[in-house]
Amino acid sequence: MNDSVNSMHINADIENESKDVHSQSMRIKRSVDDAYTIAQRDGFALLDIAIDESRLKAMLDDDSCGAFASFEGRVRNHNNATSVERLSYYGYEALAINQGRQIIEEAKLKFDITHAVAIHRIGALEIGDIAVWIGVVSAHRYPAFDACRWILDTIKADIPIWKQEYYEDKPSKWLSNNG
Amino acid sequence: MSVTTKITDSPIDNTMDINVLYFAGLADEANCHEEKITVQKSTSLTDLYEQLSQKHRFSRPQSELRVAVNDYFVKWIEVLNDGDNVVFILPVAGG
Repeated sequence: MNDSVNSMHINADIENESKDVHSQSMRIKRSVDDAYTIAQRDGFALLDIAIDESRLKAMLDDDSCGAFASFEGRVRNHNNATSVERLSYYGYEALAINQGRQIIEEAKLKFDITHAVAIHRIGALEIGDIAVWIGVVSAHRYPAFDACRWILDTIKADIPIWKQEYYEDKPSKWLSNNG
Repeated sequence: MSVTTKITDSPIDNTMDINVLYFAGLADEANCHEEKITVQKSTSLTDLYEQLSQKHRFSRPQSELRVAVNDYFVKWIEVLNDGDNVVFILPVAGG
C-alpha cells in the first residue's frame, strides 16, 4: 500500500465525519406538504427535495393581479474562474422560517404587492437545480419586479443558509455572500 | 435567641444549561451539530462564544458573526436564560 492510497482513506474518513455533523442541516424537519402549507401561509419555507414551482405559482392565483414576477436561482457550473461539480446547501430551518415570514411581511409593507411566496432548497444539489424560487403578484408590474428583487437580496443577506461548493481538483469550500 | 438563616447559605444552583447548535464551518470546527453546555447564570452571549471559541478553536471572531436565541436573531446583549437554544450564525450564503 502506498502513501497516496493511505491519504485517500484518511480523506474519506474526514468526509464521512463532516457529512455527519451537517446531515441534520441538509434535511427539513417537517413533511414536504407541511413546508408548502407554511410557504402558502407565511410566504417562506425550506425544502429538501426539488422545488415544484407550479405548486408555488398556483398559490399566487389572484384575479385582481395583472402582474406575476418570478425568479429562479439555479446552481451554476462555475464560480468565478473555477469549475463547480456540485454543491450542498445547509439550513437552520426554524430560524429560516421565522426570518422568511418577517421578510415577506416587510415586502408587503414596502411594495404595493398582493402576495409573495418563496422557497429555498437545502441538501445536495446538482448543476441546473433550482436553489431558490420567488414569486410575487401585484395589480401592476413595477411593484412585482421590485419586490421580487428585494426579496431575493434580503434572503441572500438574512436567511441562515450556507453553501459548500465541490470542485473536481481541489478541496470543497464554504462560501459566503458577504465576506 | 433567634437564628437567622442567610439565604446565601442554602445550596443554590448558580448555573444554567444552554443548548448550542452548530452549522456550516462552526460545525466542522466543533465537530458536532449540537452540544449542551452548563455555564454560570451571569454568562452573556459574548462570554458564551468566547468560552466555546477557546474550547473548539473557532477561527472566526465574534465580530463576524450574528447570534440567534430560540430560533430568532437577537442582539449580542440579549440576556441568556436556562434552557435557551443558541446558534452562532456565520455569514450566510443562500440564493
